[in-house]
Amino acid sequence: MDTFDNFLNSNLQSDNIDLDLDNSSFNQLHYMVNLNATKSEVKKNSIFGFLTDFASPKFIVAKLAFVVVLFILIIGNKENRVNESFVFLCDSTHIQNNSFDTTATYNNQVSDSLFN
Amino acid sequence: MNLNLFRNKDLTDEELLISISNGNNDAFNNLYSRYKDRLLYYFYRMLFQDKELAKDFVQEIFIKIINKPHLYNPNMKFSTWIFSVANNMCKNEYRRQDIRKNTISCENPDTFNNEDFSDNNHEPAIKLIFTQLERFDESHKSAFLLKYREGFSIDEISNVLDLPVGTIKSRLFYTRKKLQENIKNNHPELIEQLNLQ
Repeated sequence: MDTFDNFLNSNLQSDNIDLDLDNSSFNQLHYMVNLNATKSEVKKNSIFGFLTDFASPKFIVAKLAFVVVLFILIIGNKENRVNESFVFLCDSTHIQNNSFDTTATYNNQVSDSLFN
Repeated sequence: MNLNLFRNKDLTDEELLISISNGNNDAFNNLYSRYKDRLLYYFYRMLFQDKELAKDFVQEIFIKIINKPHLYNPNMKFSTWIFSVANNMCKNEYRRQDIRKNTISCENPDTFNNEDFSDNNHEPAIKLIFTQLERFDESHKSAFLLKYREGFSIDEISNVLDLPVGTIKSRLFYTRKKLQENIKNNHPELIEQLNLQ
């Protein structure tokens, strides 16, 4: 490294310019930080607000009824799924049997035509 | 609030950025005070020593930090990242003003003003260096500022400017060489003061 490099290293870092930022621009930035904080608070409230309201003791009977209905729907949905999968299994066994029969018939036909 | 301010002082830039995205005003104050002067100086020197433009750009870069903190690349140090954003903003401004047409090619940066630089104070010499630096293109200027003003390593400059290490080294060498030559030819009275050989 040359001496000019040393000069630059030691003197440019201490160089100052007569320049400062206005308070108004700083305040505007602060306002934006606050605005973002409010936005995220609103988002949080929209997610947890429902749960908080639900946990309050108001309209407790209606809420219980709602939970019971929800529970019944979930159970019903589960049973339907079991039935559907059973039907599907039956169908697939039927298809398998059919294809087995068709292949057997075809094989018989081919061997007949070959040897007769 | 004061307790928060005290806590924030110990936080890294990256942690402050996360706090800002959660709406922490003290974290913002802290990050702002860490970087505002550095960025102001960088923009001032990069953008034709235009004070108002430099102020606008500092404001704009902090707005970006507040509104789009997710753009921060965690693979980079915050200081490297923020200067790469600053550099891209300068590039856009150069493009916008079509300054390249008006910039004297760095192949021949040999015109000087005739100020008296014989004072022993370093200030005029530094002024001369920056006057001369104005004649270099944006990437030479940027590499020079990041190295000698910000004290970044060659690797960090390479990350900021998105250029290979070898290119950064050669640009710095070239800028230094041209500056030295011009000072020797046009201001021999400064040779001793600037430690030129």
